[in-house]
Amino acid sequence: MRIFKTLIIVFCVVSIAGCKKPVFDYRKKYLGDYSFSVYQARDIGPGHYDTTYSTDGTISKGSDLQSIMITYTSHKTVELILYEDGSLQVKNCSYSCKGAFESVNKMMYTIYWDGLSGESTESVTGTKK
Amino acid sequence: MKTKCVLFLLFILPFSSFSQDTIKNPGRKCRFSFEAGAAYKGFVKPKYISPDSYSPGDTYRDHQFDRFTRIPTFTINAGISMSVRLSKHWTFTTGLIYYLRKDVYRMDIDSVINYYKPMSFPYITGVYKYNYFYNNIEVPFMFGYRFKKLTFSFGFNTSLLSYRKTIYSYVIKAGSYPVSYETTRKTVGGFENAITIYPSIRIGYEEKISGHPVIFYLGIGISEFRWTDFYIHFQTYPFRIEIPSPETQPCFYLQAGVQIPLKF
Repeated sequence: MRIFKTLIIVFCVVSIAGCKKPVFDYRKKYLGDYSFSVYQARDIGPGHYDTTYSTDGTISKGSDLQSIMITYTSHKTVELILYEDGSLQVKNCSYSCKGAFESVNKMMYTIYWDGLSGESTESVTGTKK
Repeated sequence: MKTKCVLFLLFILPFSSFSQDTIKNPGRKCRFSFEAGAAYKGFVKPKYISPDSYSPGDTYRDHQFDRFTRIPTFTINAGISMSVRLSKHWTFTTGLIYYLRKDVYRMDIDSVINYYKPMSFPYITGVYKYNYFYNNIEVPFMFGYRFKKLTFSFGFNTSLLSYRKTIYSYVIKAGSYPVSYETTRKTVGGFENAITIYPSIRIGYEEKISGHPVIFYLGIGISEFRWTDFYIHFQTYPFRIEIPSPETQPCFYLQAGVQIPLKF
């Protein structure tokens, strides 16, 4: 009888665990409100342009189990793949678009674009509020 | 199919004499023990993970350990086990045992530089060593056959939740002209829910030391089966039960330890 009770308990435990969504999501510790510092530089044709500004935003879960979404106050959004070590890769970006969380409170990423007409860089550093 | 039948017969074998023997041999049916041990985790198949071993799915996950080499590690365990006497010879053992299991993957720094072009900051493709520490609370499900002082056991340990600490060792690009590289490390920890099964067989020898019984055991664990997204899909017509395939690690464990029965 005890054996059957044990088997029922095991089945219940397995059933509880039986969902595709992970209970402990490694993205959770990085989510929240952030202050961002943005550096933009463009070299298109003979002209050079660069600027630095600060803005606020939110990091939330992205469209799949491995991504996060940055929403700036300007409503601009950037979706990034978040790897298990905190490394970041901007989604749908075929150029050098990489970054990382240095800690659970600080992140950075760079989007670099290089074409026939010139090049463009956007470096973003975010600090959790 | 044949393998499944053999496994099913092995599973029901201990129950076959349950009713008669417990009546014929009344006595203490349940015994608690303190258990502690260690194991060596090794690999029979090539330790090198070829980039050709492609499986479709998540690109990063499928290729995370390409060109890495698995490193043998040691495991330690300690906890309380409970043995229930099913018959004169058969016992069923379960319990709660803490296990510290390790997984280590390593690649030459030169290979990381050649194949993955490290970034100027710690980035996942610049990793040259993964050091995983799994802190598991495991539940054993073992059937044992006792013959005189020897006990032959078979079954598995299962883990539903673990605290995983990972130490990532990176190569980073330190300078462009001239090109130079340096190394750095990052530690990341967090809880992880994954169902992992560790099948094993054991042989135990009971000896009395200062009048107190002590069981010394040796065991072999074969492979690990791990479900990171576990679900059971039932379908009534046509009847079907679907369980996703586990990630299988072709390793072996050589275990040794001791069990000390507790008196209450």
